Amino acid sequence: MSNLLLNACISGILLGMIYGLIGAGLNIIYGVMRVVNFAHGEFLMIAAYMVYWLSVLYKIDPLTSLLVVVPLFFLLGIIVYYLMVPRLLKSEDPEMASFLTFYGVSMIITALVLIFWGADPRGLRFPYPFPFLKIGSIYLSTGRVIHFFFSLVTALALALFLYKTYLGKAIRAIIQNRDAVKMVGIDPHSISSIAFGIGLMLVGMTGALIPLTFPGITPGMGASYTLTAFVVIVLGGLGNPLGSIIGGLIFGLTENISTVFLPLALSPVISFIILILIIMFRPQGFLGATGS
Amino acid sequence: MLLRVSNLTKKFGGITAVDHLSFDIGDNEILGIIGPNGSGKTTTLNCINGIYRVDEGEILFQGNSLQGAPPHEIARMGIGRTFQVPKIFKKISVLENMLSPVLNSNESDTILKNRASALLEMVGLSDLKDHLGEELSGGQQKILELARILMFDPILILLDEPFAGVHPLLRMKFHEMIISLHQKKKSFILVSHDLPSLYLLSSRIIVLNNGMKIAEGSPKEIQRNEAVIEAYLGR
Repeated sequence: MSNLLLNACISGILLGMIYGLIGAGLNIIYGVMRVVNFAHGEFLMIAAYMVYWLSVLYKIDPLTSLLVVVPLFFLLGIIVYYLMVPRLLKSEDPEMASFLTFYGVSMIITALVLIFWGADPRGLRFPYPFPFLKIGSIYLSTGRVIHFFFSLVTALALALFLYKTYLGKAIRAIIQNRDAVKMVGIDPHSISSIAFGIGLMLVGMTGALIPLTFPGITPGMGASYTLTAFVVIVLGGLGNPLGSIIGGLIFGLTENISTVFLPLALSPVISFIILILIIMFRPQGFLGATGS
Repeated sequence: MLLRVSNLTKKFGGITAVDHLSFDIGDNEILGIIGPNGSGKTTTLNCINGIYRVDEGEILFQGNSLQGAPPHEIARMGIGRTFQVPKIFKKISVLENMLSPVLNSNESDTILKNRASALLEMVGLSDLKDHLGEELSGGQQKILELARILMFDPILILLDEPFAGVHPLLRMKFHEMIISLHQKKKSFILVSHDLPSLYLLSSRIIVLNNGMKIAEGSPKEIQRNEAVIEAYLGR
């Protein structure tokens, strides 16, 4: 039992960090623009498919494909921002307008992927020498360990970016008070476009490594990641990108530890019970929102 | 002429909030704007600093049109603005609030922090520099908002109801700050319902009613003006 619990804890931490990074991308976008990107999981799914096709067609492994996916998703974020977000921000209720718009985007992406690549699940053969690592009596998926370390390094880089660079400080300032930044000479549109780029870059990076972590890539996989991302950002604090990492870890640990004591089918239920309790009793999340 | 407002008109649907308003402000001048609620005072400030697009008319700052310029560009041009409800960053420290206008500065952190500390000393908030913005009282937040815009050394400062809801001691501090900055060649547009403060500080006052200018003159002239008395007291 204790071995099983230890395994669940480690697995929860590995997956939690990945969930946290997915949430961080969504949270930056929401915090800076109050835009609800309901297509977040679908962007992750596109990244996963990109890595799949780069591997199948050009024999490029997932880690190398990050060199393509990460800058491409940053650029995609900036393009999506300028195509859609300024108009949504002019709406009387940007949150609802963006939720509906990006829900539509998620449906379009899913439909296009279905049309072009079909509904069959696709997966990559593990491209590196050791699919599993054995530490003592614990077996760990190498893919998950790789994904965890990339996510950890990215989270640390994100923290440094947000606290030490001009752009990061400006992003934090906009999250707190979008009107006030205009008064101190910061251009909210250029900063917002970069924030959207970073949000998609983070989800692109996670999506690119998803084939190492979970076996199947399908057109419908995006919705569950979007839902996970929303749970994670509520747990960590809406508008608090680094809080999402904590939210992700809580979600990952809960999901995995509950499988030790309860039937597997109940693990998502436990996570959502925690979500409901958080919304009822601590709506600002564990770390609190940074917005004013 | 520092700022020239010509025939400024701003409409919201069928309501004309500012109606063909014209006025000038010269270098090193304090211009007061008074008027009953809904007379267009804040809307005028919002048009000057780019929050609202102007429907008709023109605003020139140092000879350059502000037409279409967004608020952040207008701030960079040298027009600072404070609000009736202060727009500070509540979740970061007072010192970090002070540094927010110079995030992109080429100057060293030490120089910027020294400048911010000196300004906080001047406005009496240096003891609170490590406190979060939200821990300050409403009046202190207003003082912080004014001190913050001084970090980018504006030429013209727009103050919207700076004395509203402020403790009398802090109000006096505000008076001292405005007089001190005026001596350092700053110009002000001061919107307030606090007539004694406005009479004390302004060199000239314009009076708005229903978006139109109904009077303009020195504080003494305004105090004796029949149209002003009627607009305020309904006589």
